[in-house]
Amino acid sequence: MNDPALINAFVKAAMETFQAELQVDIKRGTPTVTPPDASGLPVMALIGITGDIEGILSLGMTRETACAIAGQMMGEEMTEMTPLVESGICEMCNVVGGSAAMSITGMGVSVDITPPVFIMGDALKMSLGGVPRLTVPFHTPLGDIELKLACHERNEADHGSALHVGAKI
Amino acid sequence: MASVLLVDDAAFMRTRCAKLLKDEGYDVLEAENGADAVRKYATFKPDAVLMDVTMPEMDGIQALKEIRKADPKARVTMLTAMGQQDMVMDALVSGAQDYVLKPFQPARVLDAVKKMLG
Repeated sequence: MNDPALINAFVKAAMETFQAELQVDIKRGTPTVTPPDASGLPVMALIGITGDIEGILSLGMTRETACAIAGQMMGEEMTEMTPLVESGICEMCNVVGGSAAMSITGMGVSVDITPPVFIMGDALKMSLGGVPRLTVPFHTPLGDIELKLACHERNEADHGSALHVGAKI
Repeated sequence: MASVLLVDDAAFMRTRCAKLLKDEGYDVLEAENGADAVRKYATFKPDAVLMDVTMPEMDGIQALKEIRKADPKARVTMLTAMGQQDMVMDALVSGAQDYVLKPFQPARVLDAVKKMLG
């Protein structure tokens, strides 16, 4: 998927969500295109994207950052990866996806999102049938959040769009 | 003190909202999906409901309709991530009083509850 307007919708949604939810200074880093099977950070929330474009949006971070983010949103210190922290990270990913979906729908592209999924493990790998991923780092005082987006238009050549996830736990 | 039924499948959202409402003095009930919400509404008759839209087992729209069918005076505000505008319109047509967009501002949630309670 090469349309910058669609990619920008996700990046903008992420920035706005992080700013609204975390109320801290957020700096967006330089986007890069990463190979389909590159490893990610150990904590990840992801949602599926369906419709005229198909793919996956994920937010990755360290365990410490996940706890710090959930604690910031809840207004209390969180130091362990509990189901509540997992739920908080998933909810943040859900809001990013929903916000992006609304923008993209406004461009005349039909898109919907699936409920968020939480994954945790070392050396996580996630691929969408060989589709390269755009990785956008966001730097915050709570730690870095890595947005990864792997998408293709539904009428593109079939990439065998099965999701493959592997982890070294 | 007024009671609020908080309905969301995300435990984090329920905990966060519940804390906000309890700090304001409300009694808070929680439900994790629409079916649970319908059961708890029938049992406890809360004064107001904050209802997420997308949930497993029964979504917020269906739960709203069932609650309003049993109690036409039920007061319900929808909680929605952006991108669900069509569902929100459906909810308003079905009798929801208001909607709050996620990520929500605490003041907006409290205003919505106060508005429902008149």
